[in-house]
Amino acid sequence: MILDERGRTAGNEVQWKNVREAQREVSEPSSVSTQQPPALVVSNVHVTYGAFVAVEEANLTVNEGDCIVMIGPNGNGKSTLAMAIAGLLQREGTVHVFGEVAPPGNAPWMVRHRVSLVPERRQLFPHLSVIDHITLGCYAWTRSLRAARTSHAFEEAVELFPELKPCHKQLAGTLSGGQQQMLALARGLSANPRVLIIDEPCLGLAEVVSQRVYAALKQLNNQGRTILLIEEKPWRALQISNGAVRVKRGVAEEITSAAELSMMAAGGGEQ
Amino acid sequence: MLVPEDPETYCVARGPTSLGSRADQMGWFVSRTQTREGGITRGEHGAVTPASSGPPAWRGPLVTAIGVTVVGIVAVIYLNGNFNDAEFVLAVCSGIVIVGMVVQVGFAHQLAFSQSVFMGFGAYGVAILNTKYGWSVPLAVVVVTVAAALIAAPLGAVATRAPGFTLALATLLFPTIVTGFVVYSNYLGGTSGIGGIQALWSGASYSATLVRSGVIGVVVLGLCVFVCGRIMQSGIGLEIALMGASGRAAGSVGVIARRRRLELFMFGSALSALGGAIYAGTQAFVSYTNFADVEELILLVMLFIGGRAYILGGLIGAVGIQYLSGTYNFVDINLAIFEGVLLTVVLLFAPGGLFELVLRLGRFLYRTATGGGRAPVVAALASDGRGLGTAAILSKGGTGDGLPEEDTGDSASVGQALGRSEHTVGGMRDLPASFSARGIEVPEVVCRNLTKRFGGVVAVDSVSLEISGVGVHAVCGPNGAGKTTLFELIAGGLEADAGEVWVDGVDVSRKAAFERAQLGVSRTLQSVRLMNNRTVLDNVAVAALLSHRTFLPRAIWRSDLKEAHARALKALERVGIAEMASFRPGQLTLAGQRLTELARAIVSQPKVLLLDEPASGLSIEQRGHLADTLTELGGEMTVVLVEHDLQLVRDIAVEVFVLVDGRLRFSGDAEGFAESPVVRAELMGLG
Amino acid sequence: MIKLGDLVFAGLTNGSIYAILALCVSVLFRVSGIINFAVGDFAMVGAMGAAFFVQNDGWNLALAIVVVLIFIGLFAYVFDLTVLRAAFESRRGYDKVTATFFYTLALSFFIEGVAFHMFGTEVHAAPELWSGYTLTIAGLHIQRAGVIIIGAAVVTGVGFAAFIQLSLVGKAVAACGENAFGARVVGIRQGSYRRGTFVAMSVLAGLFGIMLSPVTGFVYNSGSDLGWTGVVAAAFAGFTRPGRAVLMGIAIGLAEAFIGGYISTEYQEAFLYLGLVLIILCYPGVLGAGNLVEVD
Repeated sequence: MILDERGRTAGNEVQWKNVREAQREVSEPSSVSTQQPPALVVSNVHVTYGAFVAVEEANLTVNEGDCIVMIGPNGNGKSTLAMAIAGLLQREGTVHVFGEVAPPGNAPWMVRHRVSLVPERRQLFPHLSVIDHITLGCYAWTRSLRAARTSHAFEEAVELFPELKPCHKQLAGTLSGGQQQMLALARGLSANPRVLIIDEPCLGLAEVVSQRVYAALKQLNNQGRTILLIEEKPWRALQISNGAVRVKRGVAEEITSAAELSMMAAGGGEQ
Repeated sequence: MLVPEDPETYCVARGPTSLGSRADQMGWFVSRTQTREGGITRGEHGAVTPASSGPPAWRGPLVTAIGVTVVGIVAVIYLNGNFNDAEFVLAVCSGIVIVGMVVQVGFAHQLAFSQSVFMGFGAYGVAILNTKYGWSVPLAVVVVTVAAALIAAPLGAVATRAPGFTLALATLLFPTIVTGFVVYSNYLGGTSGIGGIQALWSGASYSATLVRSGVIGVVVLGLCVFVCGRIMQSGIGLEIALMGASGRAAGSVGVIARRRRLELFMFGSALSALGGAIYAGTQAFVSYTNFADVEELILLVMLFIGGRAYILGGLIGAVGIQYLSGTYNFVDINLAIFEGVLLTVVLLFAPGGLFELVLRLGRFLYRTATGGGRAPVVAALASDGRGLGTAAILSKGGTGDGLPEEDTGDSASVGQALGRSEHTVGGMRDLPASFSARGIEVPEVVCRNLTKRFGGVVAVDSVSLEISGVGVHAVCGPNGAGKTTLFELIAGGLEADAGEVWVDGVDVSRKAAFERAQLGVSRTLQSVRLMNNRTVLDNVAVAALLSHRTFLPRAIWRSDLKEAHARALKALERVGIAEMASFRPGQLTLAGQRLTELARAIVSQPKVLLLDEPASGLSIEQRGHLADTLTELGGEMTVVLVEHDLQLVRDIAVEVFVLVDGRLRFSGDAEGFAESPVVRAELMGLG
Repeated sequence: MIKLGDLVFAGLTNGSIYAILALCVSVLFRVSGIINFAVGDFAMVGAMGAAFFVQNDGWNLALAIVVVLIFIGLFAYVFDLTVLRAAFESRRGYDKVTATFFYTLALSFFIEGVAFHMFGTEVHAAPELWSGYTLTIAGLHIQRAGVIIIGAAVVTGVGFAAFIQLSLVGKAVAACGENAFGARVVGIRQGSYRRGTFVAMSVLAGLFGIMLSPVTGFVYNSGSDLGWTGVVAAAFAGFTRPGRAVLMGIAIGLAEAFIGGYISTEYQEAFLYLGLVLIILCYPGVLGAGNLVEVD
């Protein structure tokens, strides 16, 4: 499951409500039961930039353990919706995270409730090292450097991409695009999220690297983490996902037609 | 001419700028930075012409100037040399400086803190020339003003070369330096100052002298108001407005930003000196305390509180602050506290100054009185980061991520068996004879071994290509493949680390963006950069000005804004949105904004047109219309597109280049493009 | 003839102050994009406040220092809560250039106005922290206050570097400066960090003002000279490199001492600033322009 033996759970030394919940979850082996609230429920979300409506209406439900992909042409609101859900933008409408109502525009709340965003174009810190990034990901659940570095979440994030190990002291600004993407993912993971929102992970990456990233995502999903993925070209994402949401002209709705899904998976992407 | 069937596709709000043409007339009296269009009428054959184009552009500033002069003279005479009159004359002197600051700081956003120093220069200059060398005061005033401009020239030339806050920081220390020297100099009067300066126009008594000199001061002020108003309303003013809104866009339409910044600095300094000179001529005594750093802050406060980009606002600020500090002892003693608080409050709640607040109130009342109604809620095409205003919100609070926004290639790409393709001049589609009559001459754009790195990432890796002949050429590739970077290298937004760029036979590798624009390279940017407080017509006209190469003083008597407007209207007709000419960009959909940018790019009749993702965010019908427009343009100039929409590319492109990971992987015609295995694998995700 | 060693020491003393002020300006800019022109005025408040409590009310020096610093901290906290928060976190967005410069300029003006109101043009100096005759070591005259200042500056510099490198909160502060959006993604509250930094830097400036005032004495507007020099020193480090800012501050202090010693004491300030301005004008690249906000 998500967490390991109690002795090495994330945030052992810091009393966060979600950590205690997480520890409780370990001792109760029943994983995804029907009584569990869905990971994310987005209803009637509406996002504007001033007078400009970026997301008209978004409705979607993501159950725990799902891997949902958001598809749609560029410039139609996918990234805006992702940022709004993650609390980085003000929004109208409601978002429920594991049954709790999320206050709008409150990213620290979201991160504490284990919803983590890996943003488009990564948004790294150019003069901080790789290790620093992964450490900073732990900011979500602790303020102690020692707790962060010795936690399970940190180790897991480091092990996710062994290719990064030789670069641990390197500054993020000097990494290649693929390495930066891996680092962004690792940073998102060290926050120990239950829900990971990933925006265009393969922007600017070569084929081989993209495959590596997707393999990692599949691995995370298999561990039980919920994944909400944004991709412009859906064919790759649809191979690891079990549901899709179409975002077009600011309207986000779930795709339920199997025919449509398989057509997309076969390679016809809508422009 | 292509007209979309449904104009609403491009426009969100019905009706021109919500002011209405009556309220627009208010724009004259405040000498604000708008131009007035009388509206658009349709002729018999559907041709669109501007209505009787309204009053000549010099009328507004002239009316304001005369108004200010008359009011000032009346006030000076009425107050008849008493204490309030002295305060008023002081305000007039500050007013002359403030009017220059409105243009320099408020309108052109050139942040400099040198006005008080130049004011002191003017005052001391007149004082010395008059008391020590016996020159007549009016002559001294003129000499000192010209001298200030000349001194400002080398300072400005150096300081405005660098971007950012260089000018601000350098000029911040000016008052301290100058005070430090003056205080210890006997020649300059040391701490006691210089007295006994003759008046501008002497009279029988002290008060008569004050009145007469005050009248001259007011006349000079009126003159400055006229000049400043003319500048702001001229074509050069439009250039400056664009420079203030987006330096990149300004460079891309050929505005020589560096020269304009220098001219603005010289102009502001000259006017400051003039204000100081008049001060000397009316006060008979100058001392360094009047021009110390405190004075600079006072000037800034007058400017900001009054109304940053409004001449009348600035003047009212000057008079207001002067009056308050002169009349109320409490204010005078605690001037610093008072102004500090007032400035903070104004910045928080009325960033355009109190004057703008009053104006907005007036507009609001006017609209409710005439039942004009608000513009309908904008329900534009959703866009995440490509529209206006989104950039402002997203960049709120601090520095950007430092990583290049452009595409980044992945230098760790391993073992791709397909090597770089050799370039061949793509076969041209069969075009009607009239087009191919132009033949293929010198290639319009040539890139040789272009390379660009960002940090550790190679964005463009030794790309060589030739684009020649008319028609639409496309550059495609997956996200992050280096397409936008390549564009920037061709257009001049970035300088290559290695390799060359040639345009029409000229090596432009080291030339700035505005030089390439003047050579005939025109472009649009990936995110829309339009001036939101100007009409669509103005936004396009700025690229049609012939004044790019001229100097600032010419703006005072001659402005080619009218001709530019005419050319702009033609360009708007070509892209099909001529009806939107008097709208503001904020009232248009993204499609409308993109077409405005397109019109701006073609109005200068370029040889090479670079379009960065023009179809992004457009609907199917809008894309169809765009395709037709581009094909038509392709008949006359070399159009180069960066585009994701493969269908669009297949439909209109004559030649396609494919970039993957910063390298050129395919070039050829549209059929070859659809068949190429590389393309199918990388772009379409097949196989 | 003034000894070189004495000059160096005097330069280091002043340079330490400039260095610490430059550090304050630099860190605040990194975290929030604001250039703090009022930093010198906080130093002045510290100095004059402590002097006031000790001389007028007869307080114990330690008590006076603590009270003044608490007062400064509270004031900075309230200022951020009211003005800066409204400026930076309003939904309407804000004009970057205005926000960077003018709020703190207005604040500087305001503080000086209050000080003028309370003290007029009197000169005040807080009592020395380490009283006694000037030390004479190796033939050099070393003021005790100078020793304290330099020592405190070193401790502060080292402590700050350690904080940034060795604590998670310190890394978060660095992250805020690197990429504001990325910091928010990770859950860092930029507003809180800006507030905390502003308060900390103001208190630090106040403390160093108290240490400096026995040496020079403060008037209501001495703070602005100090502060603006700190701003220029930070500017020479591109506003974003606290380490370099500290070095620049020391360099300027030394330059000032040498100009005063070898050229002229009257025109010392004027020549110093003239030199700085000439450097800025002739080598604008020295300001690390790439890091500054684009004024366009």
